[in-house]
Amino acid sequence: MQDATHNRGFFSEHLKDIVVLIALALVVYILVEQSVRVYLFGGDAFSYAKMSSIRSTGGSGNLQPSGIDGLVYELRPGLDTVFKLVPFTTNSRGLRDKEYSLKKPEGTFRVALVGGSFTMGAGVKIEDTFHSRLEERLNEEPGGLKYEFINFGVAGYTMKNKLSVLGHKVLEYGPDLVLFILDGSQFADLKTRTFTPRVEKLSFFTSYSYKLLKKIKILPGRNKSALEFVRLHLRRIFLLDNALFKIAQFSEENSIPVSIVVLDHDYQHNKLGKKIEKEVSKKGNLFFSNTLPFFRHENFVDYCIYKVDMHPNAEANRIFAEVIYRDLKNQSLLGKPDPKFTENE
Amino acid sequence: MGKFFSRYKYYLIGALVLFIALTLILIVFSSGPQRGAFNYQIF
Repeated sequence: MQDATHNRGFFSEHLKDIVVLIALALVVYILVEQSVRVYLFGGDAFSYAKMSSIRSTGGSGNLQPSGIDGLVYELRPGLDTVFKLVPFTTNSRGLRDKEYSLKKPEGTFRVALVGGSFTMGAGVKIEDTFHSRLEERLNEEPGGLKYEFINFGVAGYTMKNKLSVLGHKVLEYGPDLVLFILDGSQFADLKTRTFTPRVEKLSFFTSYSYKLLKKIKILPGRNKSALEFVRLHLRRIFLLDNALFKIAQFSEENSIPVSIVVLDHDYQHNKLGKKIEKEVSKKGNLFFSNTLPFFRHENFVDYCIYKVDMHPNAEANRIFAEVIYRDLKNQSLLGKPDPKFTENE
Repeated sequence: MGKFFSRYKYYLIGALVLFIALTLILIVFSSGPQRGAFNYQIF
């Protein structure tokens, strides 16, 4: 009897220790997690709404299935939400942009941008994206022409998706110029995606300390590097050639100049940028622009939206806008539309 | 309360050291955004 009482006492003593230990471990985890969040996101780390907005595009609830051949999914129209910490709205036609009439107003020069997440502006306020900056800058210049840069970019779009946008969405806006943006998964992605709408409801509880733990330099990494990305693309360069052929055909058939833009802020991709330039130059009627050389001496992390997401930030977008502005001016693509490009309108 | 602190002071000191060490390790040794655009975690 005495032994049983003694055992119960011993057990309850230890139980208390274990409870305290577990509670302390939990407190330590929460403190580490919150410190990491402040390090990564600053003051936004204390906002439930903003932290919940950091989701993958597929789980953001911002997408809907698309009936258009080769498109799989598109942005939902009329969105007014927060995505990757910044306000995110779409117009009535599901473009991350302001409202544009289908019929081009008189005296307007329209530029259509076809691209992926960099073009969509993932994690960047719409006014800070390179196309908004270009539109604003050009409209401030004297000359009488009004410029409209229409953003068809959707995160995760592969080359196949972008070609589908070019073939099915762009023409109804009557663009005078198309910027075909190579961003994100540029052209080597062979996967045919399927899409089921879903929303990541628990994104607030993502463990960023675990994400950083996986990125500790001294641990063997499983993730692909920039150089592997380049090697894969160089191996599949024939896919780019096929796509460029279709884009050149689009340009010729519709008498709309197209510029292929390598929109990238990771200088480790520079070799790929040069190879793409070479491929584009083989197609006589395509123009080319490349932002990579301007990031040669820059620290990559300084141009990412935050330290665990490599999408280009507002400053990278400012540089993108500078480079594209300079190239479009040099290539005389922004002046009054050449009569031979407007005779079909 | 005082009794709790005096009984578990080593636990508490351990937790504090662990918190500081883990936070510093994660921040100092993490390698920045994953490079290579296939890792965008779209889906």
